[in-house]
Amino acid sequence: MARTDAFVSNPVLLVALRDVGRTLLTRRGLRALSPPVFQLVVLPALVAWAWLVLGTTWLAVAERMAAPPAETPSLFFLDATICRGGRGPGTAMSASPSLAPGQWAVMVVAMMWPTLVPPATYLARRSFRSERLRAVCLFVCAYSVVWALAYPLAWLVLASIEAALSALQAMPWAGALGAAGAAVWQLTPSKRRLLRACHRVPVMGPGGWASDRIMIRFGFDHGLRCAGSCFLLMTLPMVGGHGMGVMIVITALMLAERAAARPDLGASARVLFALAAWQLFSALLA
Amino acid sequence: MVRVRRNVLNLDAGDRTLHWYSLAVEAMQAIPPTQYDSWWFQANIHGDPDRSTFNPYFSRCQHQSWYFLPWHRGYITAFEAIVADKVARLGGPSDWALPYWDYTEPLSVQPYARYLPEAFRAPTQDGTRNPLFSRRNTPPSGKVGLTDTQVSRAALKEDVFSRAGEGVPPGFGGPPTGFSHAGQVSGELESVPHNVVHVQVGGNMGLVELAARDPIFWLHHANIDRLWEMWHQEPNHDEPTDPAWRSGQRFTLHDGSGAVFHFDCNDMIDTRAVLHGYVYDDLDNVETDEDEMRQTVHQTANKRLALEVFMRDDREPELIGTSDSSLDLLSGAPVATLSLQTGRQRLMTLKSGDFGPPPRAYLNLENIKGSGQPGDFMVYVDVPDDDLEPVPAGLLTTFGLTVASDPASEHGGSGLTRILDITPVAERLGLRDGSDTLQVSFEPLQPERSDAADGYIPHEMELAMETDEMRGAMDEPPSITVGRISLYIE
Repeated sequence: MARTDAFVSNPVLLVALRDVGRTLLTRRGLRALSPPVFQLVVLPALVAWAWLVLGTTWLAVAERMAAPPAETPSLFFLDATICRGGRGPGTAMSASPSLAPGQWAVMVVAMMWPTLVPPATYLARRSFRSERLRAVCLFVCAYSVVWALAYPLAWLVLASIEAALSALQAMPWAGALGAAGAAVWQLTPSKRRLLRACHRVPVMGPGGWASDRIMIRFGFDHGLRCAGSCFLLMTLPMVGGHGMGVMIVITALMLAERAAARPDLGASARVLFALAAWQLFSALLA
Repeated sequence: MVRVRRNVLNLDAGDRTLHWYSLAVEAMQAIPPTQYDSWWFQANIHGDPDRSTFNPYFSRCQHQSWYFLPWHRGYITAFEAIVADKVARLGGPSDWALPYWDYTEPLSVQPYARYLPEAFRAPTQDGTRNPLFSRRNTPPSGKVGLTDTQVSRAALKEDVFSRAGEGVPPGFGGPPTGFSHAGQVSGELESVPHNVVHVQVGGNMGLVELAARDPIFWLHHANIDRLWEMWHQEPNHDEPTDPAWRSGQRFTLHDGSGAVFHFDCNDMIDTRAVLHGYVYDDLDNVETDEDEMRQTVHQTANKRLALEVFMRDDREPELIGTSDSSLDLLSGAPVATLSLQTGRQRLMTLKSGDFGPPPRAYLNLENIKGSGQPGDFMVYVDVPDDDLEPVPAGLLTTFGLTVASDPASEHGGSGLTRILDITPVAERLGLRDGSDTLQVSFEPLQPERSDAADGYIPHEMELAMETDEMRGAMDEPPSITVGRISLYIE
């Protein structure tokens, strides 16, 4: 069993999450961010979240209006909205996996880009003023290329999971299985190793093209470490159907474990198991 | 009953403090490392060299962080409680207190300030193993090679306890962080004299994972704690009010009876309220002319900086020059040349500014990585092609280097970062608008000798715990590189 640094008296993840919230959600915190970081990282992430919230609400409302009101209890409707993006277990699943490239891109920007705030801040503050925008831009682009390359892999994973689960008549439990799988990954030594590597910063360059190369290389390496660490967490919302609640929980979890120098991975695994239990419960409700 | 911690070098001839300490250490060293009152358990709290065994109390020490001072205060006081309990059980006094080793005392006052106390010097006593001896880079005379600069109290003049931000000195106590077993930037007191003494004593003391196995570690940290208390008693020196420091992180240790004891930084401000409570016998900050570095460090300008930081949060330091490649500090005469972009930046005259406070200059040594125990270095800066000699800018200390360089560590092996305020030095060099080059050079400050193993008799418990990794850590050949050297102006 992998090490966990858990002290019950010291909820590390919650403390880390509170610190992240203070940085990203308060005026003072946002003002403290280096200018290019806010414009290039935080603002697009906020826009992506707005898009997700509006899109999910729209879908849920559309489904609600399509279903006969008398047969759908409102509590169940809420759960379906929060948990599975409006898809109740009675709803027919489409033949192809629900993962358009646009959806993947929006998810990456909304859920992964906020974790870039610490390294991007470091890069910005340790670059010449005239090169800050360039440095952060190159870093974020190189990082996103890795996630773009992960898209076909995610598509394959999702397709095979959905095919297997359809064959077993087990699609309603997809969310629970996904959450349980992600929880188990949290406890492995590989996850721990990759997460620690996510705190690595590069040796900064002397400016100009030499620094550009370092930014691109670092963005790519950071993307690989990050994708390795968080890939399963990112596929989880898709398996469950892009539920809003699931996405928020996963994002909060990733931010908290990224922010803490010694994250409590046992606690994050427990959160994911609880999520799996909730998904299972709502599947059984149907 | 509040205990009194006394200067170990000023104890009376018949004083038995160290005698009881030795007996208690011997007793604790015989206890297996799974029990809280084992010597090895207490040492592993600081750093656990054998990472395959998991214990939630091990490797919890805080470094390169604003938690460094309060955590170590809790740590050594809990240790003091455990030792005092052992001393009482062995028939000793009930008010035993940990003494401190004040190596910062001027040599004109205490000529043996930079020698290990006598009881710690010999590997054996009366033919048996001396529990107070350990692997060190010190000769049998106990002399630790320490210059005035290396044991300077200059850090006590730093008014700001903690400061955030890349490129700026982190303050007296260290930068704001979360839980930080190993980080990048050390606070001023942590760097000098704390890190320096670790490196110059060497051996076990030179490595984070083994340092607390040396019985002198605790007397060293008692002095660091005392220096914090001396800083605290100055009228304009205050610990941070930020709740993230005061109550944002809780730590857990054991007290003298074995009960678990939780604390946060708020609990560590008043020494009389920490566990059994303690005070120091002498908190006078005696100033002499011996310390050149102390005189070059900012004084009134520093007070102004503290006010500026409070008033203008958005005053951000700016990078104005960097070296163009990494530098191996063990290669002949290591020199780096920084190209400065002074022409394009705002007014950079480093004399009194016409508008507002004068700019300050900070030299950053970034991503310092290496292995083994390469020792400390004196850092010199120079504007080339003039008649002025290179001027000493400060010390680069390497305690924690191997942990910081380890890719498996908390910061992924990003290395240490040392930040020196070189404003007074820059003025002496005539650094101003139009200067386009700065040279930075390093001079190694080696310990008295390099062989740390002579005469040391390992305890059988220690031999049972020793791994290849530990043996390797002690014998690793030294190496050190600085990733980039940069200059910031604020």
